[in-house]
Amino acid sequence: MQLEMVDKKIEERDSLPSGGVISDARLVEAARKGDDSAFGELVLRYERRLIRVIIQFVKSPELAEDLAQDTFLKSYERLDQFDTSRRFGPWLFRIGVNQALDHLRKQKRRGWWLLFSDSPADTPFDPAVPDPRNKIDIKQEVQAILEEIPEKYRTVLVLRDLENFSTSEIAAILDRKEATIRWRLAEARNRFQKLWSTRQNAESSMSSKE
Amino acid sequence: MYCTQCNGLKSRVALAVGNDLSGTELILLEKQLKNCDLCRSQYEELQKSYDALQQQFDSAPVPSLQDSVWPRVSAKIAASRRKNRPTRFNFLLPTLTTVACCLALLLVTNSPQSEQQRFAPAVGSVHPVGLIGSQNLNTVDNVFGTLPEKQWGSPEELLQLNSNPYGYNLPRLKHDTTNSYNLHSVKF
Repeated sequence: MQLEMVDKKIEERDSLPSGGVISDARLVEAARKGDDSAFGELVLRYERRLIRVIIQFVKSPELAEDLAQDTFLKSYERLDQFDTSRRFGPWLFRIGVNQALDHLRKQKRRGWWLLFSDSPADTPFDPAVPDPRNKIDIKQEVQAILEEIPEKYRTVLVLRDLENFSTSEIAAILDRKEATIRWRLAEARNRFQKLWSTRQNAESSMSSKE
Repeated sequence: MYCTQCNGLKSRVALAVGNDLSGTELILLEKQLKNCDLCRSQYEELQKSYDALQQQFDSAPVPSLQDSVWPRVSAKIAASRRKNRPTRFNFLLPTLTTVACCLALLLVTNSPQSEQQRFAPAVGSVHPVGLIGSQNLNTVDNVFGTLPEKQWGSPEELLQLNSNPYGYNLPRLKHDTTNSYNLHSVKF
Protein backbone atom coordinates (compact mmCIF):
# COMPACT_ATOMS: atom_id res chain seq x y z
CA MET A 1 0.00 0.00 0.00
CA GLN A 2 2.72 2.41 1.06
CA LEU A 3 4.92 1.38 -1.82
CA GLU A 4 2.08 2.13 -4.22
CA MET A 5 1.77 5.57 -2.69
CA VAL A 6 5.49 6.11 -3.12
CA ASP A 7 5.34 5.07 -6.76
CA LYS A 8 2.40 7.40 -7.30
CA LYS A 9 4.35 10.22 -5.71
CA ILE A 10 7.34 9.54 -7.93
CA GLU A 11 5.11 9.60 -10.99
CA GLU A 12 3.55 12.87 -9.85
CA ARG A 13 6.98 14.36 -9.26
CA ASP A 14 8.21 13.27 -12.66
CA SER A 15 5.16 14.75 -14.32
CA LEU A 16 5.58 18.12 -12.58
CA PRO A 17 6.91 20.95 -14.75
CA SER A 18 10.24 22.40 -13.65
CA GLY A 19 8.54 25.50 -12.32
CA GLY A 20 6.20 23.43 -10.14
CA VAL A 21 8.92 21.89 -7.99
CA ILE A 22 8.55 22.93 -4.37
CA SER A 23 11.75 24.17 -2.75
CA ASP A 24 13.44 22.16 -0.01
CA ALA A 25 12.93 24.99 2.46
CA ARG A 26 9.16 24.96 1.93
CA LEU A 27 9.05 21.21 2.34
CA VAL A 28 11.03 21.50 5.56
CA GLU A 29 8.59 24.13 6.85
CA ALA A 30 5.65 21.86 6.00
CA ALA A 31 7.34 18.86 7.64
CA ARG A 32 7.93 20.93 10.76
CA LYS A 33 4.20 21.62 10.92
CA GLY A 34 3.55 17.88 10.87
CA ASP A 35 3.12 17.22 7.15
CA ASP A 36 4.77 13.82 6.79
CA SER A 37 4.23 13.70 3.04
CA ALA A 38 6.43 16.80 2.69
CA PHE A 39 9.22 15.02 4.46
CA GLY A 40 8.55 12.01 2.27
CA GLU A 41 9.15 14.22 -0.73
CA LEU A 42 12.51 15.26 0.69
CA VAL A 43 13.41 11.61 1.29
CA LEU A 44 12.57 10.77 -2.32
CA ARG A 45 14.69 13.66 -3.55
CA TYR A 46 17.83 12.76 -1.65
CA GLU A 47 17.74 9.04 -0.87
CA ARG A 48 19.56 7.81 -3.97
CA ARG A 49 22.43 10.23 -3.65
CA LEU A 50 22.65 9.68 0.10
CA ILE A 51 22.77 5.88 -0.23
CA ARG A 52 25.40 6.23 -2.93
CA VAL A 53 27.56 8.43 -0.74
CA ILE A 54 27.22 6.11 2.25
CA ILE A 55 28.09 3.08 0.10
CA GLN A 56 31.41 4.74 -0.67
CA PHE A 57 32.23 4.55 3.03
CA VAL A 58 30.68 1.29 4.20
CA LYS A 59 30.78 -0.76 0.94
CA SER A 60 27.64 -2.79 1.71
CA PRO A 61 24.46 -1.59 -0.07
CA GLU A 62 22.19 -3.13 2.61
CA LEU A 63 24.09 -1.44 5.40
CA ALA A 64 24.12 1.82 3.44
CA GLU A 65 20.35 1.63 3.15
CA ASP A 66 19.99 1.06 6.89
CA LEU A 67 22.27 3.98 7.62
CA ALA A 68 20.34 6.14 5.15
CA GLN A 69 17.13 5.31 7.01
CA ASP A 70 18.75 6.30 10.30
CA THR A 71 20.00 9.49 8.68
CA PHE A 72 16.51 10.48 7.54
CA LEU A 73 15.07 9.64 10.93
CA LYS A 74 17.72 11.73 12.68
CA SER A 75 17.20 14.63 10.30
CA TYR A 76 13.43 14.46 10.91
CA GLU A 77 14.00 14.60 14.67
CA ARG A 78 16.35 17.59 14.24
CA LEU A 79 14.30 19.53 11.70
CA ASP A 80 13.82 22.31 14.25
CA GLN A 81 17.58 22.87 14.31
CA PHE A 82 17.81 23.31 10.54
CA ASP A 83 18.29 26.84 9.28
CA THR A 84 15.93 27.20 6.30
CA SER A 85 18.03 30.04 4.86
CA ARG A 86 20.68 27.38 4.10
CA ARG A 87 20.56 24.43 1.74
CA PHE A 88 18.99 21.21 2.95
CA GLY A 89 21.25 18.86 0.94
CA PRO A 90 24.60 19.58 2.63
CA TRP A 91 22.93 19.51 6.04
CA LEU A 92 21.43 16.08 5.32
CA PHE A 93 24.70 14.75 3.87
CA ARG A 94 26.57 15.97 6.92
CA ILE A 95 24.34 13.79 9.11
CA GLY A 96 24.73 10.90 6.66
CA VAL A 97 28.53 11.13 6.42
CA ASN A 98 28.84 11.39 10.20
CA GLN A 99 26.56 8.39 10.56
CA ALA A 100 28.75 6.37 8.17
CA LEU A 101 31.99 7.47 9.84
CA ASP A 102 30.60 6.64 13.29
CA HIS A 103 29.69 3.20 12.03
CA LEU A 104 33.22 2.68 10.67
CA ARG A 105 34.77 3.79 13.96
CA LYS A 106 32.57 1.37 15.88
CA GLN A 107 33.51 -1.40 13.48
CA LYS A 108 37.19 -0.58 13.91
CA ARG A 109 36.87 -0.77 17.69
CA ARG A 110 35.05 -4.08 17.36
CA GLY A 111 37.85 -5.24 15.07
CA TRP A 112 40.42 -4.55 17.77
CA TRP A 113 38.31 -6.46 20.24
CA LEU A 114 38.02 -9.47 17.90
CA LEU A 115 41.79 -9.45 17.51
CA PHE A 116 42.15 -10.32 21.19
CA SER A 117 39.17 -12.66 21.42
CA ASP A 118 38.87 -16.31 20.47
CA SER A 119 37.91 -15.96 16.84
CA PRO A 120 38.09 -18.95 14.50
CA ALA A 121 41.38 -19.20 12.68
CA ASP A 122 41.64 -18.27 9.01
CA THR A 123 41.84 -20.99 6.39
CA PRO A 124 45.37 -22.40 6.31
CA PHE A 125 47.70 -21.37 3.52
CA ASP A 126 47.51 -23.79 0.60
CA PRO A 127 50.33 -23.39 -1.97
CA ALA A 128 48.32 -25.29 -4.57
CA VAL A 129 45.75 -22.52 -4.72
CA PRO A 130 46.90 -19.57 -6.85
CA ASP A 131 47.39 -16.27 -5.09
CA PRO A 132 43.98 -14.55 -5.15
CA ARG A 133 45.63 -11.12 -4.93
CA ASN A 134 46.53 -11.36 -8.60
CA LYS A 135 42.84 -11.34 -9.43
CA ILE A 136 42.10 -8.14 -7.58
CA ASP A 137 40.74 -5.67 -10.05
CA ILE A 138 41.18 -1.93 -10.10
CA LYS A 139 38.06 -1.35 -8.08
CA GLN A 140 39.31 -3.42 -5.18
CA GLU A 141 42.74 -1.91 -5.53
CA VAL A 142 41.31 1.57 -5.24
CA GLN A 143 39.27 0.51 -2.22
CA ALA A 144 42.31 -0.96 -0.52
CA ILE A 145 44.27 2.25 -1.06
CA LEU A 146 41.42 4.44 0.12
CA GLU A 147 41.31 2.51 3.38
CA GLU A 148 44.97 3.28 3.97
CA ILE A 149 44.39 7.03 3.73
CA PRO A 150 43.55 8.84 7.00
CA GLU A 151 39.87 9.52 7.51
CA LYS A 152 39.93 13.32 7.16
CA TYR A 153 41.58 13.09 3.74
CA ARG A 154 39.61 10.06 2.61
CA THR A 155 36.28 11.75 3.34
CA VAL A 156 37.18 14.73 1.15
CA LEU A 157 38.52 12.50 -1.61
CA VAL A 158 35.40 10.34 -1.64
CA LEU A 159 33.04 13.31 -1.67
CA ARG A 160 34.94 15.17 -4.39
CA ASP A 161 36.32 12.50 -6.72
CA LEU A 162 33.82 9.71 -6.22
CA GLU A 163 30.65 11.68 -5.57
CA ASN A 164 31.41 14.84 -7.51
CA PHE A 165 30.45 17.33 -4.80
CA SER A 166 32.01 20.76 -5.26
CA THR A 167 34.59 21.96 -2.74
CA SER A 168 32.10 24.53 -1.40
CA GLU A 169 29.50 21.78 -0.92
CA ILE A 170 32.06 19.60 0.87
CA ALA A 171 32.93 22.57 3.08
CA ALA A 172 29.24 22.85 4.00
CA ILE A 173 28.89 19.11 4.58
CA LEU A 174 31.99 18.83 6.77
CA ASP A 175 31.52 22.24 8.37
CA ARG A 176 35.02 23.43 7.43
CA LYS A 177 36.37 26.38 5.48
CA GLU A 178 36.69 25.87 1.74
CA ALA A 179 40.43 26.60 1.88
CA THR A 180 40.83 23.75 4.38
CA ILE A 181 38.91 21.42 2.09
CA ARG A 182 41.05 22.39 -0.91
CA TRP A 183 44.21 21.77 1.05
CA ARG A 184 42.92 18.42 2.30
CA LEU A 185 41.84 17.45 -1.21
CA ALA A 186 45.29 18.17 -2.63
CA GLU A 187 46.92 16.23 0.19
CA ALA A 188 44.50 13.31 -0.29
CA ARG A 189 45.19 13.14 -4.04
CA ASN A 190 48.94 13.21 -3.47
CA ARG A 191 48.73 10.47 -0.85
CA PHE A 192 46.50 8.36 -3.10
CA GLN A 193 48.89 8.79 -6.01
CA LYS A 194 51.87 7.78 -3.89
CA LEU A 195 50.19 4.59 -2.68
CA TRP A 196 48.82 3.85 -6.13
CA SER A 197 52.25 4.18 -7.78
CA THR A 198 53.84 1.99 -5.10
CA ARG A 199 51.28 -0.74 -5.72
CA GLN A 200 51.57 -0.49 -9.47
CA ASN A 201 55.36 -0.70 -9.30
CA ALA A 202 55.17 -3.70 -6.96
CA GLU A 203 52.71 -5.45 -9.26
CA SER A 204 54.77 -4.82 -12.40
CA SER A 205 57.96 -6.05 -10.70
CA MET A 206 56.12 -9.24 -9.60
CA SER A 207 54.78 -9.90 -13.09
CA SER A 208 58.22 -9.34 -14.65
CA LYS A 209 59.71 -11.91 -12.24
CA GLU A 210 57.08 -14.47 -13.27
CA MET B 1 58.73 13.50 -6.92
CA TYR B 2 58.71 17.24 -7.47
CA CYS B 3 61.89 19.17 -8.03
CA THR B 4 63.09 21.41 -5.21
CA GLN B 5 62.07 24.54 -7.09
CA CYS B 6 58.53 23.33 -7.76
CA ASN B 7 57.80 21.73 -4.39
CA GLY B 8 55.47 24.60 -3.62
CA LEU B 9 53.33 23.56 -6.59
CA LYS B 10 52.54 20.20 -5.04
CA SER B 11 49.04 21.07 -3.92
CA ARG B 12 48.24 23.12 -7.03
CA VAL B 13 49.17 20.25 -9.33
CA ALA B 14 46.94 17.92 -7.31
CA LEU B 15 44.06 20.36 -7.58
CA ALA B 16 44.65 20.88 -11.30
CA VAL B 17 44.13 17.15 -11.93
CA GLY B 18 40.48 17.37 -10.87
CA ASN B 19 39.83 20.80 -12.43
CA ASP B 20 39.75 22.47 -9.03
CA LEU B 21 41.87 25.47 -10.01
CA SER B 22 40.59 28.78 -11.27
CA GLY B 23 41.45 29.88 -14.84
CA THR B 24 44.32 32.17 -13.92
CA GLU B 25 45.82 29.64 -11.47
CA LEU B 26 45.72 26.98 -14.17
CA ILE B 27 47.46 29.20 -16.75
CA LEU B 28 50.24 30.00 -14.29
CA LEU B 29 50.70 26.32 -13.45
CA GLU B 30 50.84 25.30 -17.09
CA LYS B 31 53.61 27.82 -17.68
CA GLN B 32 55.61 26.43 -14.79
CA LEU B 33 55.07 22.82 -15.81
CA LYS B 34 56.32 23.53 -19.33
CA ASN B 35 59.71 24.42 -17.92
CA CYS B 36 60.09 21.39 -15.62
CA ASP B 37 60.03 17.81 -16.88
CA LEU B 38 60.08 16.31 -13.39
CA CYS B 39 56.98 18.17 -12.32
CA ARG B 40 55.24 17.36 -15.58
CA SER B 41 55.86 13.66 -15.07
CA GLN B 42 54.47 14.04 -11.54
CA TYR B 43 51.36 15.62 -12.99
CA GLU B 44 50.97 12.65 -15.33
CA GLU B 45 51.30 10.22 -12.44
CA LEU B 46 48.61 12.08 -10.56
CA GLN B 47 46.41 11.99 -13.62
CA LYS B 48 46.71 8.18 -13.80
CA SER B 49 45.70 7.70 -10.18
CA TYR B 50 42.84 10.18 -10.64
CA ASP B 51 41.59 8.17 -13.64
CA ALA B 52 41.57 5.03 -11.48
CA LEU B 53 39.45 6.87 -8.92
CA GLN B 54 37.07 8.01 -11.64
CA GLN B 55 36.61 4.39 -12.72
CA GLN B 56 35.50 3.66 -9.19
CA PHE B 57 33.02 6.55 -9.45
CA ASP B 58 31.55 5.12 -12.64
CA SER B 59 31.17 1.62 -11.20
CA ALA B 60 29.42 2.74 -8.00
CA PRO B 61 25.97 1.12 -7.71
CA VAL B 62 22.97 3.38 -8.19
CA PRO B 63 20.05 2.46 -5.93
CA SER B 64 16.75 2.14 -7.75
CA LEU B 65 13.80 4.35 -6.93
CA GLN B 66 11.58 1.28 -6.54
CA ASP B 67 13.35 0.42 -3.31
CA SER B 68 12.56 3.67 -1.63
CA VAL B 69 13.41 3.87 2.04
CA TRP B 70 10.50 6.24 2.70
CA PRO B 71 7.96 3.54 3.76
CA ARG B 72 10.40 2.23 6.35
CA VAL B 73 11.41 5.74 7.43
CA SER B 74 7.77 6.77 7.85
CA ALA B 75 7.11 3.62 9.90
CA LYS B 76 10.07 4.48 12.13
CA ILE B 77 8.84 8.07 12.49
CA ALA B 78 5.38 6.81 13.50
CA ALA B 79 6.93 4.40 16.02
CA SER B 80 9.09 7.10 17.59
CA ARG B 81 6.07 9.41 17.74
CA ARG B 82 4.06 6.74 19.57
CA LYS B 83 6.96 6.21 21.94
CA ASN B 84 7.24 9.91 22.76
CA ARG B 85 3.50 10.50 23.14
CA PRO B 86 2.60 11.20 26.81
CA THR B 87 0.49 8.44 28.35
CA ARG B 88 -3.14 9.21 29.31
CA PHE B 89 -3.57 10.37 32.93
CA ASN B 90 -4.66 7.42 35.01
CA PHE B 91 -7.20 8.50 37.64
CA LEU B 92 -7.11 5.15 39.42
CA LEU B 93 -3.56 5.55 40.70
CA PRO B 94 -3.97 8.80 42.71
CA THR B 95 -7.35 7.61 44.04
CA LEU B 96 -5.92 4.34 45.29
CA THR B 97 -2.93 6.13 46.78
CA THR B 98 -5.19 8.54 48.70
CA VAL B 99 -7.34 5.68 50.02
CA ALA B 100 -4.26 3.77 51.13
CA CYS B 101 -2.91 6.86 52.93
CA CYS B 102 -6.24 7.42 54.73
CA LEU B 103 -6.36 3.80 55.87
CA ALA B 104 -2.81 3.96 57.16
CA LEU B 105 -3.64 7.17 59.10
CA LEU B 106 -6.73 5.57 60.61
CA LEU B 107 -4.79 2.51 61.69
CA VAL B 108 -2.15 4.66 63.39
CA THR B 109 -4.61 6.89 65.25
CA ASN B 110 -6.92 4.07 66.47
CA SER B 111 -4.22 1.72 67.63
CA PRO B 112 -4.61 0.71 71.39
CA GLN B 113 -2.34 2.73 73.68
CA SER B 114 0.31 0.95 75.67
CA GLU B 115 -0.68 0.09 79.17
CA GLN B 116 0.32 2.74 81.64
CA GLN B 117 0.08 2.65 85.34
CA ARG B 118 -1.82 5.73 86.32
CA PHE B 119 -1.24 7.66 89.48
CA ALA B 120 -3.97 9.15 91.53
CA PRO B 121 -4.96 12.67 90.50
CA ALA B 122 -2.79 15.45 91.81
CA VAL B 123 -5.69 16.93 93.81
CA GLY B 124 -5.45 14.38 96.56
CA SER B 125 -1.70 14.32 96.67
CA VAL B 126 0.51 16.10 99.08
CA HIS B 127 2.73 18.59 97.35
CA PRO B 128 6.11 19.14 98.93
CA VAL B 129 5.97 22.84 98.15
CA GLY B 130 2.66 23.02 99.85
CA LEU B 131 4.20 21.45 102.86
CA ILE B 132 7.02 23.94 103.24
CA GLY B 133 5.89 26.90 101.15
CA SER B 134 3.78 29.87 102.15
CA GLN B 135 0.54 28.75 100.47
CA ASN B 136 -0.69 26.61 103.25
CA LEU B 137 0.25 28.82 106.13
CA ASN B 138 -3.36 29.28 106.99
CA THR B 139 -3.83 27.52 110.26
CA VAL B 140 -7.32 26.39 109.30
CA ASP B 141 -6.39 24.73 106.03
CA ASN B 142 -2.92 23.77 107.00
CA VAL B 143 -2.62 20.11 106.62
CA PHE B 144 0.82 20.20 108.11
CA GLY B 145 -0.41 19.19 111.49
CA THR B 146 -2.58 16.39 110.14
CA LEU B 147 0.32 14.73 108.49
CA PRO B 148 2.00 11.91 110.19
CA GLU B 149 4.99 12.82 112.28
CA LYS B 150 7.40 11.28 109.87
CA GLN B 151 6.87 13.41 106.73
CA TRP B 152 9.00 11.38 104.31
CA GLY B 153 8.73 7.82 105.26
CA SER B 154 10.31 4.91 103.54
CA PRO B 155 9.65 4.58 99.83
CA GLU B 156 7.45 1.61 100.45
CA GLU B 157 5.32 3.68 102.77
CA LEU B 158 5.06 6.44 100.22
CA LEU B 159 3.89 3.99 97.65
CA GLN B 160 1.35 2.67 100.07
CA LEU B 161 0.04 6.18 100.46
CA ASN B 162 -0.55 6.07 96.72
CA SER B 163 0.29 9.70 96.48
CA ASN B 164 2.52 11.59 94.11
CA PRO B 165 4.56 14.16 96.01
CA TYR B 166 5.18 16.23 92.86
CA GLY B 167 1.54 16.96 92.26
CA TYR B 168 1.28 15.63 88.73
CA ASN B 169 1.02 12.27 87.12
CA LEU B 170 4.17 10.67 85.85
CA PRO B 171 4.45 7.70 83.57
CA ARG B 172 5.52 4.83 85.60
CA LEU B 173 7.14 1.83 84.14
CA LYS B 174 6.94 -1.64 85.51
CA HIS B 175 10.59 -1.99 86.27
CA ASP B 176 10.41 1.20 88.36
CA THR B 177 8.47 -0.63 91.05
CA THR B 178 11.76 -2.03 92.36
CA ASN B 179 13.33 1.41 92.49
CA SER B 180 10.74 3.80 93.79
CA TYR B 181 13.22 6.72 93.96
CA ASN B 182 13.74 7.02 90.23
CA LEU B 183 10.22 7.74 89.18
CA HIS B 184 11.29 9.86 86.20
CA SER B 185 13.78 7.51 84.80
CA VAL B 186 12.91 5.79 81.60
CA LYS B 187 15.33 3.08 80.68
CA PHE B 188 15.93 2.13 77.13
